[in-house]
Amino acid sequence: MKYLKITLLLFLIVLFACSEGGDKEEQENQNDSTQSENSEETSTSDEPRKGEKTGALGYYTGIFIPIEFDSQSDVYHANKITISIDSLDERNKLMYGHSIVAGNLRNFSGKYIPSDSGLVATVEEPGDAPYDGYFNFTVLPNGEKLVGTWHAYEENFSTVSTKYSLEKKEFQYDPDIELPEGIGWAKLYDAANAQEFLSPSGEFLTEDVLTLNASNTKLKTKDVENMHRGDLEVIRNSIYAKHGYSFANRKMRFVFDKVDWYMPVSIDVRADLTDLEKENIELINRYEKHAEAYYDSFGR
Amino acid sequence: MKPLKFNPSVFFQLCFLLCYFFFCVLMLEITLQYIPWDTDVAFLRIKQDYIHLWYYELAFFIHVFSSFWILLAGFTQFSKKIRKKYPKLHQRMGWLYALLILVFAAPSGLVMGIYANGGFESQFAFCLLAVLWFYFTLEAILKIRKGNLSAHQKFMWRSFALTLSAITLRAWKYIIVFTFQPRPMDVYRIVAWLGWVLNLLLIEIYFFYKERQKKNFNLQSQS
Repeated sequence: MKYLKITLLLFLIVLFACSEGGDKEEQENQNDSTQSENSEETSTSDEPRKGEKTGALGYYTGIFIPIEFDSQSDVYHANKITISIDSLDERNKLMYGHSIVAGNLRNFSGKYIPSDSGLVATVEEPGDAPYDGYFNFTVLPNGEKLVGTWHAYEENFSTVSTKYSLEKKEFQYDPDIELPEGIGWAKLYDAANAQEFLSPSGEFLTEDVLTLNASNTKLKTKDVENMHRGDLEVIRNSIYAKHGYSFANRKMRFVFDKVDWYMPVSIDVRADLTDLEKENIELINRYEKHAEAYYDSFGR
Repeated sequence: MKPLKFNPSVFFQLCFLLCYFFFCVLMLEITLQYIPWDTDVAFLRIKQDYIHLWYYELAFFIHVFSSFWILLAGFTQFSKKIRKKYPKLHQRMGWLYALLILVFAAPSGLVMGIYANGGFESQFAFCLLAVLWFYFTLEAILKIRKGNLSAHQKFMWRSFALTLSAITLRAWKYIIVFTFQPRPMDVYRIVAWLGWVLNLLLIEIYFFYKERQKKNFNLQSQS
């Protein structure tokens, strides 16, 4: 019962913070359009730090670089992360947001201190997941960047602490965006042989991976039937990547984390997929699964 | 009881039989994937463009479910012992083999060949295979009806060489993928030809040498 009350209270706070933020933004927008000359004046006289709020809110994306980690558990620990600052409670100096990395979306909240170098914040994840922790970061003035560290509550998690310097970035779905050319001939991470990952054997992508865009073209059997499985897998997953899907699958993170336009913003994009994309996913899936089961076996 | 002696020809026959049996089991495994009746599994997973055609579906299942029996009926036919000791068994199995091919497997193979993956190259290969398979089997039956034993044997060897392509084609695929990791449809096109042409070539070479041996023998006996 006690917990219920607390969660309810928290929920109300978040709700309040959100609605307040929304209202203010709307007001500001109206201000911008109707009395643009006065807006500068009001912001400086009424509230000295009004600009910091709208500047700080939004997505920050970059690489979560491990500082302390268990080198035995995996060969590669860096992941692309998006930290989203969702709202600020300026009265109580509270920050609310969430992080998305490696297929996990975790909310966080905590105190921040406005200073000349930006908003200095310490925010905490709820602690009910094994890999939760706390962030110490600074949101640079005007929200140019978000720089800081993260520490896990539990020291026995494979990554104990990380550092990061994230760029502010808006998320925009663009079906026409292409994979970068460098991705052809990239190596595919193999979880089963992670330690041998750096050896010359293993699965490669080929330049085929650059030939199809499964988000803006209806793929036919002919397009996909003669492709290697690795290429098909990346072509199919590039659909999800464009929608900002955060891959729980290490193999795909390893490919897409290096792609400039890719930013993880969601852990479930199924509702965002277009009909064309859904059809293409189904077609590619067929050939992927067939190749997985039969490509190197006795049979057709 | 006679003392056991190592006989190389018996040894090789035994090896061949074991191999054959091993591959027949693999073929049976492939067949069993489609039981219970499933049109979205294994090979059919990538035949969705055609499986909705009723005659393709019919041809496919006829082809799959007849193949194992043809392999089984076929391998008994080349044993001298069975032919001599149990001529009735040879005849019955022969009829089973021929009817399964002529009525079921070859016509259904032709239908499947028309819709084969991999474009014209493999479609042509599979259609030609089906037509030749039908022709050789039919010729073999017609020849024995006329009592022409040597021609019957020759055509049966040819027919069985093509029957064996069910195994050799899949074995080639395995070997080629293992060594070169080519694209899936490239392998498909290669084995569509390699799987049966090589078998037929080998059997024709065998006939050629046998023929020459016979000639030499005749020449020797004349002089």
